[in-house]
Amino acid sequence: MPADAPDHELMQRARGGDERAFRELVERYEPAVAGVVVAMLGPGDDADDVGQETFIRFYRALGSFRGEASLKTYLRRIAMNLSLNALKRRRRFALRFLSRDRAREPLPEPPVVIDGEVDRREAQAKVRAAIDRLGPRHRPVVVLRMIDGCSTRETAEILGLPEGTVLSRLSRAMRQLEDELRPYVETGGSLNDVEARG
Amino acid sequence: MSEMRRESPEGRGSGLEALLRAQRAAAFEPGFAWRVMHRLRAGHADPRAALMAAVQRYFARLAPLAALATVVFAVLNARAADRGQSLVDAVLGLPAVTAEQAYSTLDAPAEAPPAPEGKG
Repeated sequence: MPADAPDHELMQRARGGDERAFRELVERYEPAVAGVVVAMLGPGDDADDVGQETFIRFYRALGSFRGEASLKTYLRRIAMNLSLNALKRRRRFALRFLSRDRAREPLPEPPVVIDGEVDRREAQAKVRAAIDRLGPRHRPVVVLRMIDGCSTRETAEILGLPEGTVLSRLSRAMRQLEDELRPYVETGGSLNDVEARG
Repeated sequence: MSEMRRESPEGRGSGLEALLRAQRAAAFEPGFAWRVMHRLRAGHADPRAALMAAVQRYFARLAPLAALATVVFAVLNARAADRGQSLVDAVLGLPAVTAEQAYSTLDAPAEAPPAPEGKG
């Protein structure tokens, strides 16, 4: 099987039970799905499980996929819906089993600066925490538009929203992120990879 | 990435954009495609197939027990036929009743009701 076989040919073969063809599709679109799921849920088992479930749903829908949207958009939409479901489960779990004290926000701390540059790992952890604090209406917009690099039109298509709504949600979310990450944004141009320096 | 177009959203600073873009993951943990294919082969793709597989698994566990129980009851019944009394009757201490005895109780005259006591 040629490595650059078009999607429709691979899907045709996968419908006929060709496992190698479906595996090729999984490998081809893993980055697109990972981009959405990991940004929504953070890295870990949860994200991996949702990523797998995305392709399982796609496999079940192979027969009904009509190609109205591009395959990448279609997979991102499944990945986003499953990620939002996973977030709902997380919130329910947190409300039931975690103490309110643990959910309290920590006091803001100044970033660790080494040789005039911010520790990359620390900055990434703070950004992750700030994304996690975004509500379920704002997080998908930031993930698709700002992290995954989709256009406003693609973001609107994946989320099933008008482009104007995407832009207004994005604007509000970016203001919130800017407020929370101000110390890192101000030094953001000179992020320092401490890991690389050893 | 050709179909992705980066537009400057609302003129935000590039510092925040760079911080957010650094969150992008290009892949899951190694072996992701293998894990997906493994789940598909295990029957997760079709819920009906998954249900059938689960039923078959339970049936495979119960089948030897059911076969053993059948043999045990067959042996006990055969022995009970030789003795003229079932195992359950023997355990409960019930007398053996033959068909002849059962019919004889039907033929026996009904007992007269007790005479009413005198009014004094």
